[in-house]
Amino acid sequence: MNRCLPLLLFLNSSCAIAMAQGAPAETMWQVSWRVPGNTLTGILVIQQPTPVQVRLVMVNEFGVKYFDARADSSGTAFQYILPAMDKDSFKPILARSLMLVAMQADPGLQKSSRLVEVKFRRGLPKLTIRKGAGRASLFRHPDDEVVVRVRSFPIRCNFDLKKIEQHVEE
Amino acid sequence: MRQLLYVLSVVLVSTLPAQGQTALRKPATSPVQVLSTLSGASAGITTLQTDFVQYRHVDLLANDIQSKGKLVYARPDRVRWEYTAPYSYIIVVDKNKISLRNNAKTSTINAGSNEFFKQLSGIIRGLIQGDLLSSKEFTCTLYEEGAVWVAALVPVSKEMQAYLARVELSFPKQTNMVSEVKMLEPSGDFTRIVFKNQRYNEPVPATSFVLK
Repeated sequence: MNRCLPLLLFLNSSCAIAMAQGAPAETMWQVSWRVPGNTLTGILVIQQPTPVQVRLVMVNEFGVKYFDARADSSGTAFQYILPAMDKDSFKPILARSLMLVAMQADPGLQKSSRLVEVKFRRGLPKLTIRKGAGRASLFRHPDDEVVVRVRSFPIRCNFDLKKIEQHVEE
Repeated sequence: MRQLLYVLSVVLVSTLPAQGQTALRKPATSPVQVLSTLSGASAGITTLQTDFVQYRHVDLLANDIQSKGKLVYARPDRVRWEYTAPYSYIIVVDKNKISLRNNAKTSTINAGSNEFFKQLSGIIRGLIQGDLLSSKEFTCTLYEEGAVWVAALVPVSKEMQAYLARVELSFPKQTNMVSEVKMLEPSGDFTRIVFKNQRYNEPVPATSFVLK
């Protein structure tokens, strides 16, 4: 019994610490995503569960989940993607766009990745991934607006994000 | 050993978060009668104007994604579903025409050409008119939860089961009108919509169903 008590007390205090630390930080963004022939809109939640890892979840206005992805220094992995979006021609472009969005959310991830080139334009960061024939760039504007432009022939798409309040007054 | 179990139970109980008491859910004793009452109440609705709050729960996210808005319905097939916060988004269904407004940009599509919006307008109409309870696309089980009837609708088709585990509709016994909709996915994620300030059978201006 005496040997078990410290272990139990340790377990109890560990649980309490985990609760006190609280949940990982989250931000919410309104998204307009223009791809040829279509515009998808919805809400993107960016969460940082651990250092150098970013989780990105997008749902449309009615709550339909488009994707649930995790980005780290090795790239973007989809835990879930809507079957209609799960296309080989489309997924790498989405992954690259999300990688840039994740990097602007987590500078640690930006530093640890070799894929990205960072420049400043009028004092604002511009992140670029050049890989193969295509190019994806992210521009951060004042007022918490972010634009990701993907130019990967034959696809050109724009990913516009605007930060919004997470809590709605009922 | 008994001391160890005692200490263990005290430790575990002390780490559990306090939870509110909820009414016990039990199967309705006379489901046919309840179904008839709920369908009868919905049948008398010609118009509905209500506010709503939508909670999108995604596993491991600390906070539900919340939005709120207004719903206007006029029998048989006109719906205005409007999100007012934290963003502005309006969908208007007027017979076979669907209009959308997002960030001051308005577009119109034919209901028949877009399966998602066709299903969405069908679900909204079914919710208000009570048709969902007798739909052949779902098996319906009725429960009693304190002062509320809960209809649990499980999709029949395998295709629908892949993304929708069940839909739960709550009807307070006082009004027998739907007050809450919960759509649960197989993963455990869900969308919950709570209706507030419902006004039934009041005149609805025709402009509600026009987007300029």
